[in-house]
Amino acid sequence: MKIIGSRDRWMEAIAIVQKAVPSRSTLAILDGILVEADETVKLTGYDLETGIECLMEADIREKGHIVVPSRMFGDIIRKLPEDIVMMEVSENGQITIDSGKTHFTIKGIAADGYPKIPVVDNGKAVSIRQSLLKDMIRQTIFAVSSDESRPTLNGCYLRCEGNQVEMVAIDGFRLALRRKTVEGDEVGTMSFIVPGRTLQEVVRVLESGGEQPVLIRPSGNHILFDMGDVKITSRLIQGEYMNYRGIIPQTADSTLVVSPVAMMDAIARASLIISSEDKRFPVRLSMSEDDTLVVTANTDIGTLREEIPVELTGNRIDIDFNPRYFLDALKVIDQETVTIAFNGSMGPCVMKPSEGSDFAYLVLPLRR
Amino acid sequence: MGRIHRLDDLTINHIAAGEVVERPLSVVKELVENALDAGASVVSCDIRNGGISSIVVTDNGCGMDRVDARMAFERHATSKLRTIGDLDAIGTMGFRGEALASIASVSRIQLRTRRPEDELGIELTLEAGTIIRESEVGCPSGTRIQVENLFHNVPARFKFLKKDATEAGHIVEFIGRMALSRPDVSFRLVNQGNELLHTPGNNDGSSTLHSVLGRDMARSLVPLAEDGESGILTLGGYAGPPSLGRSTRQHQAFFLNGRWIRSRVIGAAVDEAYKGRLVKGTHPVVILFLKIPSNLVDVNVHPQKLEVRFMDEGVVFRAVYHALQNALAAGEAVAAFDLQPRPRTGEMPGSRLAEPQAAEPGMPTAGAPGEPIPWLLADSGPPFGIHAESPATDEGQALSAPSPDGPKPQGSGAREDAKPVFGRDLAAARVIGHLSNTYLLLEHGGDLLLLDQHAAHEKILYERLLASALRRRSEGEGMPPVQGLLEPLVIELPLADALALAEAIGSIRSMGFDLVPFGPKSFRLGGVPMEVPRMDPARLLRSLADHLRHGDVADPSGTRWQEALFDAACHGAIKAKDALDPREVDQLLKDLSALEDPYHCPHGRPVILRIERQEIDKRFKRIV
Repeated sequence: MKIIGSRDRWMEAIAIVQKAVPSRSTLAILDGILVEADETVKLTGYDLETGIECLMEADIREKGHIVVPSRMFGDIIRKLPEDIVMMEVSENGQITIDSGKTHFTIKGIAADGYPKIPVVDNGKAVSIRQSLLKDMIRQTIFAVSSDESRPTLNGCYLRCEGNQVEMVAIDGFRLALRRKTVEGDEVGTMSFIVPGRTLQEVVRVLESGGEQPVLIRPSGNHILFDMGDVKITSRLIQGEYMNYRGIIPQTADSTLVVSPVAMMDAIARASLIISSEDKRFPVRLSMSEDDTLVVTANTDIGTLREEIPVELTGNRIDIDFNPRYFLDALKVIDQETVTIAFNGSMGPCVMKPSEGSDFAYLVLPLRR
Repeated sequence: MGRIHRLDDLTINHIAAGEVVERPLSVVKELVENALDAGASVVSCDIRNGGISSIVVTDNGCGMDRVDARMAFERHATSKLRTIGDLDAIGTMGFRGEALASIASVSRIQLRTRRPEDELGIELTLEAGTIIRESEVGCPSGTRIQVENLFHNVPARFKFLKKDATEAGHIVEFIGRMALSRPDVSFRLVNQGNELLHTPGNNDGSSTLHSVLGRDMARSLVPLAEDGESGILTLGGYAGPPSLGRSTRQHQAFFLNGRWIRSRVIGAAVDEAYKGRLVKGTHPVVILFLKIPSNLVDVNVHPQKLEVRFMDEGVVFRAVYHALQNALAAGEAVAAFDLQPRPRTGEMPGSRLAEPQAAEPGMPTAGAPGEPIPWLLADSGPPFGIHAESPATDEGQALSAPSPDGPKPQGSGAREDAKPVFGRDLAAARVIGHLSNTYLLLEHGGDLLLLDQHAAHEKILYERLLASALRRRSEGEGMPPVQGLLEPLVIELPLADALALAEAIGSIRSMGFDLVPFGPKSFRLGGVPMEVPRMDPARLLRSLADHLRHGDVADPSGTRWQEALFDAACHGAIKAKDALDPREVDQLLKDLSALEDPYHCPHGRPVILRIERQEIDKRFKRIV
């Protein structure tokens, strides 16, 4: 194998696949990056749960495969003096890395033993714009549960129906739902639970302004996120997802239209005195006038009171919440205004866009 | 005038009743055993007020004719024994012929019985041991006995009866045990008109287990391989995984020839088999059925026949020990590595999946066979020179931590300084690694510290909850805010646990758990206190039920109660991520070193272990 490429390209590709290289694996070969030079150069990291493959531009002089120790490889490439890097693998697995006047020779591992990432292709695919998928993940992933006693909640539920794609996360106390219509052919109905950890990696790779499409291909046990040069394959979480549709109330006792930024700032300020070492306090949302929402926190450190202008329909409210749950949702709402529906001091509270149904954040109040 | 005179029968029966009939459970036990001895395949028990105001036991057994029915209430009248010789080979549950007479003397009894071959049955009514009415009645074949107003004429006993729910709890436990021992009999228990238990009686052990213990627990039990020993003893049953350790022995049941017994020998064999596998202070869930020819066991040593004497205790011990060991190994229910010293058995860690080279069963303290590994047997010193960091002398000992104030171990790893506390500067310890995403490896003063991150987290959480609850109380604040669950969780528990929880439900709710009964064995959890983060509610409730049944929380408004609850809550708490990032580690160490006792988690398990540099040097033969 002999390839010539740019140091910066190498660094980018290594950084991407390293996310799936386990730091302490029982299988030594998994601690390495698989480098394959056929028609193109492909780097692979795989921890048996999640696999990341990344294509890289390079000049292939001679085809071949090798596994390179991941961390050392990354460090070597980063420290090379010149941008042009030549990598050559001899018959006996010796890797030579040349750049300028620097000449490294390191040992590689034969690629034969490297486990294969499952091939996911059963013809079905959903296509979503990169920036859109990134938003959808960002706007739901915070509500993924880490409670291992309920594994199905450890991932985001992805449901496609016709042209609608829906992503849902639930941690038992709150729910985050994002919905979007996608272009292209209808894909039929399918749904699966993607591990939160995989989505974290997917988000890192996705470009914020990216107009390129991501192809999502599911199979029975695995899912593939195909972003062109980068492919992420992951195991799916098996099981029935919670039936969330019945949980989201369609009616409301009170509805507020408010600026999410103003509300987020107020609650963030309240949190400054709420987060005490060993005692947690609620944040109180109450109203004494129809056009003003009062955010209060009353803790053993002190108090905060802040007024926010709102538009109210229905009854005035007086409800306690866990500030964190509110903040997590408000942070990811990009709209100018948001509609918040309350259902008394016990019923669920839902944040929705003022128009449409692109998202829903459901939080249960704290009962006094 | 002679001072000594013969007591009248009523007095004699009263005295006997004191021995045999202690509480409503005793009555239920006698009646149910009689029903089984009568060959019943369906036994139903209906109690009111914990059995104090009424107990009705109905069976479809062989019934009695008029003469037998009258005779049944005579003292030392029995159908189960004819000659003294029969005592050596007792196959029936009862035999002493005391029970009915005793029960009759302290209650009001109505008996209805008919033999299948008779057309009409007979009804007897007794008051304080005397038949006051007798008539022929139409009734189903079998026997129905109703015992009312128990102890109404024995104020001394009556006074000592516990709350209805407590008495009912005992009866539930008993019927549950009987049902387990006799899967071929359908048992039904009704309390205050609610059916608490109903087993199918289809001779299927697992469906009976299901009905009695609830789905979750039944699923996790490992059946013992059917395996007799040398023909004289047959042993079957179920072994709970060590992870299901409970804080009392109430979840252990031993049956000998179909009768529930207490046995120190079997208990010791169970402990020995699970030794090193359990968290300290917990007991495994074990159900054992032994069959031994009745001439090899003496059951006539205890009025309630709870204790028995085995001819050959060694055989019993060995059989139980090996059966459990095998089941545990087969069930992969074993922790892979075990830091507990096993000097008694000389077993190597890691060798336990192999056929155990156990100590001579029957005398578990005897020396071990096989080649001992020298450093494991560092006589008085613990293997590995591991010390549970402990400022106190008590708890650490089970972990073989030499008591710092006690005599110094002579073996390896003896520490020169008697002060194990490094307290506040724990945060300054250098993190050098992370083992299996479970233990943090720290370097501290040249020594290696192992820190169990889950235990540490649990400990921090527990202290935090308790401190906040105490403050709430002292500041007169009400209950903590309740965070509702999106979807209520329905949790099923073994019946006796469920009863214990139901009794304390008011207090549980006042602590911020929105828990409501949901059927006889289930609860619905709709919300948790804001301060208790993620947790596994089923574990929480199980752990709590243990505390309640243990009786450590007699006063549900007291601090002990809160401790128990938070203990349980923390037990259920789940560490969010196993792979901690450095900031989390820092925070953990900081929080931990702020505690007064960072060394033990609320359950007495150690949080930190120390392996001394000297000990490591020694292992590497750098020093001798």
